[in-house]
Amino acid sequence: MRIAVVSHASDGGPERLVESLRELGHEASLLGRARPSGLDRVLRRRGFATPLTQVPRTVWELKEADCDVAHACSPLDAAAALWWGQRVGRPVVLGLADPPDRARLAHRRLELSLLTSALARCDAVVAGDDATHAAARTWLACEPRLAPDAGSLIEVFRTLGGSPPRAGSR
Amino acid sequence: MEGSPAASVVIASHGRALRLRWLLNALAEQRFEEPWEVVVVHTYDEETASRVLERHPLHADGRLRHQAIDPATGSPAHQRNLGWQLARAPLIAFTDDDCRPDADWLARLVDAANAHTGAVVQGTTRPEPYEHAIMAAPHVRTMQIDPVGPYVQTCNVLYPRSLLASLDGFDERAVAGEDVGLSLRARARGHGVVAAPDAVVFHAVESHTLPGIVRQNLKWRHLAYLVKQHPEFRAEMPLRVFWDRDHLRTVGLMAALAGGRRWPPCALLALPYLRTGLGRRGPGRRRLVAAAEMPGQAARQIAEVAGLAFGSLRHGTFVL
Repeated sequence: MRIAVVSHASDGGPERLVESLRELGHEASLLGRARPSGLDRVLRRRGFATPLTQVPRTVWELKEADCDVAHACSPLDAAAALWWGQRVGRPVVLGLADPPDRARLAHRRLELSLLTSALARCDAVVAGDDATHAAARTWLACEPRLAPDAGSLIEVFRTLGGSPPRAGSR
Repeated sequence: MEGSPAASVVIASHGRALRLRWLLNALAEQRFEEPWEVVVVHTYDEETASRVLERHPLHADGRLRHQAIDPATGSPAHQRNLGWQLARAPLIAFTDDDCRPDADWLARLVDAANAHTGAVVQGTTRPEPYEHAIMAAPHVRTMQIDPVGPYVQTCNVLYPRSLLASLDGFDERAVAGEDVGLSLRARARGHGVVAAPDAVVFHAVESHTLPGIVRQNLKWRHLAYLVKQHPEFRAEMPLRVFWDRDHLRTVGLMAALAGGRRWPPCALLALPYLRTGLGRRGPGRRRLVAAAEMPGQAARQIAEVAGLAFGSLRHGTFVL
């Protein structure tokens, strides 16, 4: 399976996920890494969730990568992934690595609309652990699937619709 | 929940399911010792109601009841009326689905109600501190209210149920200002409005585009209906004509724009608007931001005044 892990953040978690997926024999790539942008600094001062300028570049990267599924690590990443996924008929998963925190769910402009859009339109929402699962039920009123490791994440991907995996990959 | 509730919290909800969930979470943390309940009247489908309401711990506790209505028939006044009529407590607290009450909110409202039998109780409302960064947007909607104010908004207010019944609740013909109208009718019957400044609610901070906020504010044209029903409210209005001082300054700006070229001294009428507008963001460099935002702010406020002018024609009373 060709998997795009979409994450603008660089906290080590997405990198570890990509490595784990590769160890299981899948073609995994990390897309959407944010490059510092002057425009994003201006947008941030005006209260926006950032990095917004990354979104078009991420959509382009997804188009070039031509993956079977996109795993978005945040609602902002999901916005780019959904733009791509709904045009090419590929599934998009929203991954919650950390427990949602009320203080940060709507704290910047567009944050809440990105979140509600991701929850409504992603093909699945997954939580990395029980605490995240419980917090998602409390703050997002959703029931994410539990996927504590790469293996269980693959099982989630397999249950989703979209194009079949390419020949020669798992 | 055992025993009859001492207080009911009534919420009208539409189009904000996630914020409603956050409100319920805050209500679940209320430090109020007596039995109490929540009644939500909403326009959500079954799946959303199940996810947001029925799977909430307050529902499992037997403390939360909800009623779905056809979205086509929904309005804040109608939903709140259904809510208080379904409620069982003698004291009815209202808040909105885009609010987050402090943990002592209900207790403080009820304390004030018990200390002033028959009175309406208004608490303090502040912009949500979690969403403070959004205040950087040019067009923002939030609330900052120190009780007792002239409007007595339902984001943070308590009414005795008996008073609501005697007043027939909110006026469902009012498209806007139904909460103001209810408080005016209560006052006319001799029921005072008392402050509970420690009953705090935090109101969402939401940014809009200029067209979006102009569309949202179109409903304020119906405030003319409120003033027609309650001419005594003109005592609260600048020069008994303008809804607030912003509108008074905006009309000055409009007069300056219209007549300043033909008669230059007319341009001085814009000074109060410019002075307030430039100070909107604070001192120093922030005046530059305020200056850049001024055209958009002026467009919004001129649209509001124009809306009220149309509303005045429709409802047969002059309000700007």
